[in-house]
Amino acid sequence: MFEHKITPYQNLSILILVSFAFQSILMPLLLTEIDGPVGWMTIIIAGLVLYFALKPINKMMLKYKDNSVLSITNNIFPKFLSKLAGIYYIVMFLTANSILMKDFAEQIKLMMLFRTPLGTIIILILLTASYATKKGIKTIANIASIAVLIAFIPYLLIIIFSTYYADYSNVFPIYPFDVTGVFKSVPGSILGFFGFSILLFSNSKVTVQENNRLINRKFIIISSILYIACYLLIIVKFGIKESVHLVWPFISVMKFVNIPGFFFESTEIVGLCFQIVVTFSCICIIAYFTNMAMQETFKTRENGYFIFIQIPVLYIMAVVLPGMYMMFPYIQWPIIVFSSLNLLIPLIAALIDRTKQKMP
Amino acid sequence: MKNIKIIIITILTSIFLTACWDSVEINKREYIFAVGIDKNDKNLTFTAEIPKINEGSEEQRLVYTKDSANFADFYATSYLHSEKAISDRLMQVIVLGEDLARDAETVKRIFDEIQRSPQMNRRVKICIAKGKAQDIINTEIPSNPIVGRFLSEMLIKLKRENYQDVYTFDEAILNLGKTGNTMVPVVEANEKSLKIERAGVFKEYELKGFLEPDEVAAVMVVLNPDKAKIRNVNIMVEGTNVSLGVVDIIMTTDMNISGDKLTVDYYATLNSYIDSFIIGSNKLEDQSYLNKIKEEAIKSILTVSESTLDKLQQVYKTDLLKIKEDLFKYHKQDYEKISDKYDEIFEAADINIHLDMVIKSTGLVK
Repeated sequence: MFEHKITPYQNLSILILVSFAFQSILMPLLLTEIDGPVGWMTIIIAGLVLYFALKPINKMMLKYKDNSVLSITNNIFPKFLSKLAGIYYIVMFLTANSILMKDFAEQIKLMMLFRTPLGTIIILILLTASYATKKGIKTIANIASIAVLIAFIPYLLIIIFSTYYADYSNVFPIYPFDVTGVFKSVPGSILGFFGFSILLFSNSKVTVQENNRLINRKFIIISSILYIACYLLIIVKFGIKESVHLVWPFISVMKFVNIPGFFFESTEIVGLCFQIVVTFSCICIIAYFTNMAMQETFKTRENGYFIFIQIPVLYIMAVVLPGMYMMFPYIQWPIIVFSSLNLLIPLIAALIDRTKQKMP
Repeated sequence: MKNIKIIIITILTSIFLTACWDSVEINKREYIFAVGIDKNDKNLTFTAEIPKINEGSEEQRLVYTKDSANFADFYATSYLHSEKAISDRLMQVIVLGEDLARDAETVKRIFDEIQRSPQMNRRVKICIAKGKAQDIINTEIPSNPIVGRFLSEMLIKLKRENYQDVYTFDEAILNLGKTGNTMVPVVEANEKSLKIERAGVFKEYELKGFLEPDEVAAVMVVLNPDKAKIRNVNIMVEGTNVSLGVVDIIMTTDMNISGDKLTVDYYATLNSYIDSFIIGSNKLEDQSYLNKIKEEAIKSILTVSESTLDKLQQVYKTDLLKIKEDLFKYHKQDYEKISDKYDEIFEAADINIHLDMVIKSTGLVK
C-alpha cells in the first residue's frame, strides 16, 4: 500500500548512513586489532574488495531489474539454498539491528537518561522506529535523505571542531606496519560497510536502476573516505595507546567539541543529539529491509506487518545481548562468518547466473 | 471538525511539552568551578569552590571542604549537605595537592575516575599545588576572587603562549599513557594572589619533583621550538649589561641508536635582537663585540639547558623531551630493540644541544 520507488540520491543516503553507524560501532575493533595507527590500510583494502565485488553484482542486478538479491537467488539457487540465504539475511539484519539498538540505548542512558531503565529506552526506540518502518520505503528514504542534511553533515562538522590540540604526528609510525593485524581486521572492516548488504535490496527499489552501479561506487568511495577520516580523527586526538581503551571513541571525541563563540554545558550532548537522528534512521532502514527479506523468503504480497514480528524479537535480542564493547573478545569468528557470507552470497549468485547464461 | 482537531492537538502539545518533570533550574544548582584534592591520613580532602552565580554577584563564592574517598563520594556527601543540586559540568580546574601527587596509586585512582566519568569534561584544566591544594582554593585574590576562573584563564594563557606544555587533564593523561611522563603546571601562593611559573615532573603517575621557570622554558624550546618563548637573556659583556630577546628558533633533531647507546643532538639557531644596552656606547657597531655577546648568550643558555638535561636524566630519570615518543614514531625498528630497557638507556643517553645565535637587529637605534 505504501510501496514506492526511491531516487538514486535517497539510495546513496541510506547506504552511507547505515555504513557510518556500523563503522562507529566497529571502530574500537579496528583500533585494538592492529598494533599501530595503520587501520586506514585495512579500510582501503576492505573498500577495494567491495569496490571490485560490486561489478558482477551490479551486472546481475541490472539484468534482473526490480529484483533484490533474494528474489534473484530464488530464481537461480535451489529452493533449499535460496530459503537458507533468506533466513541468513533475516537473522543477520535482526542481529545487526538489535546490536545497534542496544549500543545506542546504552549511550543515551549513560549520557542523558541516567535513571531510565534500558528496556524502556529500547522499547521507545523500537516503537517509534516501527511506525516509520510500517510506512514503507518511501518514508524511510525521505527520513534518510533529510537525516543526511539535518543531522549527519552537522554531526561531521561538529566532530571537526573537536580537533583542537590534536597531535597529528600520532598517525606515525607507518613503517614497519603490523601486516597480520591489518589483514586480520579486514573482515571487521568489510562488515563496517554495512550498506553493501543493504544495497543488495535497496537497488531494486531505485527509480533509475541504470545508475545503480555509479551510485554504489560513489557509496564505497564516500564511505571509505568517511571511515578513514573518522579513524584518523580518533588517532590524532587520542593516539593509538589511549584509543584502544575507549568504549565509544566518538562520544569521547565529542567531549572536545569547541565551537568558537558558542557555550554548551555538555558539548557531547550536542553531538549525541545529531547521532540520535542518524542512528534512529539506521534502525528504521534495517528494520524495513528485514521486512523485505522476510517478504521475499516467505513469499508474501505485503511486508509492513512483519514489523509486528520483529518488535518482540528485536526487543528480546537487544535486552539479552551484551553491549558491543563487551562482545569484542568473542566476535572474531562471527565477524569472519558474517562478512564472508555478505560478500559470498551475492558473488556466488552472480557467478552462477553468469555460468547459466553461457550454457547453451 | 477541523477546529476540534486543532484544539485537541494544541491541548495535547501543551500537556506533553512541559519540559523535563525532574529538571533542576539553574538557581537550584551549584556549579563547582574548582576542586582541590589533598591527601589526609585516612582519606582525601576535597575543597570545592562554587561561585554564587545566582545572587547577582559574579565575584562571590562558597568554599566547601569535605573528607571523601573519591569524587563520587564527595558529590554524594555534598548533595546531602546542601539544599541545591551540585554539578561538576562546568568544572574549570582540578588542583592536586603536593602530597597526593607524590602518591602514584591515589593519582591513578583520581585520573581513572575523571576519565571514566560521562559528566566530567576531559578538558578540565589541571595543576599541582605547591603545598596544600586547599590553601590554593582558599586564596583570596582581590582582583579576581573566583580562583577557578583565575587559574583557568592563567593556564589557557600559558598554554597559548607556550610557557607550559600541559594545561588540561586530557593532555596530562595522554602524555602519561604514551610515554609514562609529563610535566604539569605548579600553582603556588604569591602574596595576595597565585602564580604559575614552575612545572611538576610526573613519571608513572608520581610527582618526582619540580622544574624551575628557566628549566621549564628550556624543555619547552626542545618540545616546541617554533612557538616556545625564551625569557630575555641577560648577560654582562665587557662590564656592560646586555639584554637579548629571542624572536624565533630554528631547530633540527638527530637521533641515533647504536647498540644500547642513544645519542640525541639538537641543533638550534636562535634569532635574536638587542633588548637593552646603554646610551652613549657605539660598541654594537663592532662585529667582534657582537660576537662576544653571542658567545656569552650561548654560554648562558647552554648552562641552563645542560643543567636541565642533567636533572631530567640523572635526578628525575624522566624523559620529558618526548624522545621515546619520537623514537616510536619515526625510528620504530630501532625503538623496538630497546623498548624494554628504555629508562636505563635514557639515563645514559648522550643528549647534546648545539646552539648558534644570530643577532638580527639592534632595535630602533644603533
